[in-house]
Amino acid sequence: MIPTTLVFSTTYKCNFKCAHCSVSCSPNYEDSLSLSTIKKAIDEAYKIPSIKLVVFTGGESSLFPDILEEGIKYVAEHGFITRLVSNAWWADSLSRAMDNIGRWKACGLEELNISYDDFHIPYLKKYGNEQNIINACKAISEYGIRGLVGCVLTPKAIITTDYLRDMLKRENISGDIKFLEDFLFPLGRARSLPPECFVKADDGSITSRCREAGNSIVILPSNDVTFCCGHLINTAAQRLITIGKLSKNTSLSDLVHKMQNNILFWWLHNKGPFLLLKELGKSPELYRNCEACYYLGTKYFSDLLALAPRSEELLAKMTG
Amino acid sequence: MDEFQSKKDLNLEMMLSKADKIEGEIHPQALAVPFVALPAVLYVAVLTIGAVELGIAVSAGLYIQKVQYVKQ
Repeated sequence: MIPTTLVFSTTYKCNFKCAHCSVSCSPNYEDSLSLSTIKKAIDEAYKIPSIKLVVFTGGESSLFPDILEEGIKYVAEHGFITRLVSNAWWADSLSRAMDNIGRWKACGLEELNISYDDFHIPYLKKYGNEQNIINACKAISEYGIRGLVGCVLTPKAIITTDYLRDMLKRENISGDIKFLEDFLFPLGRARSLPPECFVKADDGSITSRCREAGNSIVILPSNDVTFCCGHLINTAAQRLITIGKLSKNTSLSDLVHKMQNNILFWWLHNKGPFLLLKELGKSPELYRNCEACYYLGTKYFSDLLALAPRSEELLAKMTG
Repeated sequence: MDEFQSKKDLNLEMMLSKADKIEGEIHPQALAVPFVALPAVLYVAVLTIGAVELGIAVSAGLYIQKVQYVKQ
């Protein structure tokens, strides 16, 4: 609950409409965070010493290039580490990949995360297929920025971190490029996928506390601020993780302070959503930990609100 | 979730210290184990060194010679 990362989810607009997208992004959205909101948030984040990293994500934030570039520049000028998360649609040739990454680097970008997995394949066809990922990685390597390729797995996934490692080796791409894989979360648009796509977590994470809660502060296109960068954004359960709204009268510091005095948020951070479901006497089948929060914010939301008068009791259970 | 807002400011450090331990985190008790086990480890080490010294002495005939000298 000490925020280390500020995330700008600049837009839900995306040129892809992946079946697994928990944020349900698509080309149908038009809104974006304004540059003035980004700048105001950065001015305020500058006064919160624990925040070191600023992430631009979405949606596909590169669809609003002016806001993105000015935003990165402003963030870098304030001394934060900057990261961009993208689907690499802009890398359909090596020269375009070099142009874009070169421009972002000149603005101050230090890290580029590329999302690529089986679900992205149909949408990359319109651009340059897998060559986009190769071009982006070559440009990352050439410019010497940090890179990461992240993929979402199903039991029969073709694109895995091993696949990506082999691909980069085959193309003789070196540089500081890491790989990350995670199993699919049945949230957002992914809830419509068949059950065989999901793997139940067996590492104890479902019943554990949520270490991510409160570590990332996320500003959404609506100016709403959430205390988790997880999979509930743009779902009916978003209300569970929403701290408040940035406005003329409400600063980022106000919202961080509010978060740090919220007993529910502390419970999710210290004990986890599973134990809260247990307090409510509920035990839905869960594949992943974020699903527990999803149920708390939807199906069992009224039960959760009925627990609010017992907040002090929850606090005592945490601190006793 | 304003319904769960605390009426008074919470102590941040105290709240952070109350987080449940989960797999992968080092529990403070795990760090204490070497200190608790230290006397036992030293005792076993002394016994082992003693046994080895005695073995060397016997194999060199020193112990037997001393016994023979006392008899004379």
